[in-house]
Amino acid sequence: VDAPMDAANVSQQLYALLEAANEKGPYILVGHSLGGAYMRLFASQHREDVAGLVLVDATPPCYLTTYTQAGLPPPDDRKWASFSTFFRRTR
Amino acid sequence: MGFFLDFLSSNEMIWQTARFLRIVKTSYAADWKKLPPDLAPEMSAFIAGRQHLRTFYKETASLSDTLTQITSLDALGNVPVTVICSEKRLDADATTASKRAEWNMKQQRNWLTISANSHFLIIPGTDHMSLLLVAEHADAVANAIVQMIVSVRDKARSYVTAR
Repeated sequence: VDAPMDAANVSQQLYALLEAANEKGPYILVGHSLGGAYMRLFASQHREDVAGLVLVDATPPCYLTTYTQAGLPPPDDRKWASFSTFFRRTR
Repeated sequence: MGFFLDFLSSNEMIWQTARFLRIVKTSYAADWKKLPPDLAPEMSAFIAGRQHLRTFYKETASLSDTLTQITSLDALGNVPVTVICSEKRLDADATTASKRAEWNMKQQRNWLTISANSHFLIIPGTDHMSLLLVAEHADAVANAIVQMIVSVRDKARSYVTAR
């Protein structure tokens, strides 16, 4: 699907997939890292279909803002820069 | 997505040619090699695939929008939530690694506010990726998921019995 891959689109696509597969709720959602953020939005949008949520080191809403407030360099900036400039996957 | 990257990953033949000519190089963190032998080839193929690269790039490009979308959502009431947190962060500098781990634990604890029925679990010895890639760490994550399933099923059964 050639749409922006933000939480709203991922949540919408996941719901469409579950519907197409005839997988009825209630669901237990599990998301790791950025997947946790996606599941958080899905849980809010389909609360009546959600029986539980497991967030595995999920990316928090303030990921990009509070890092610098804590005196830390912005997360993964070098990795993204390296990736986009040299098209190299380093992880 | 950048035009060049979009072009390279637009077609399997172009993608494989770019890899052959080493315009694109795929490599893996050491943890990927700790996967069981039956999973390692599949994961390797997945990481080296053009769809993975496109998805990775699109997720990164939309990160800011995603974070905006999950800010200020309503709480989930009494929905059971388990928040699993890694214990450490990997960084060449020990002080920065320690700060990152401390920061992450604080942020993970903030997830507890999304439900009145939330639980916090730190899995000793884990980092962000080892939660998935190191067998004993992944087992601990799987156990937490199983506990969630059992608890939800027990609750559903007791509800049916009560009715």
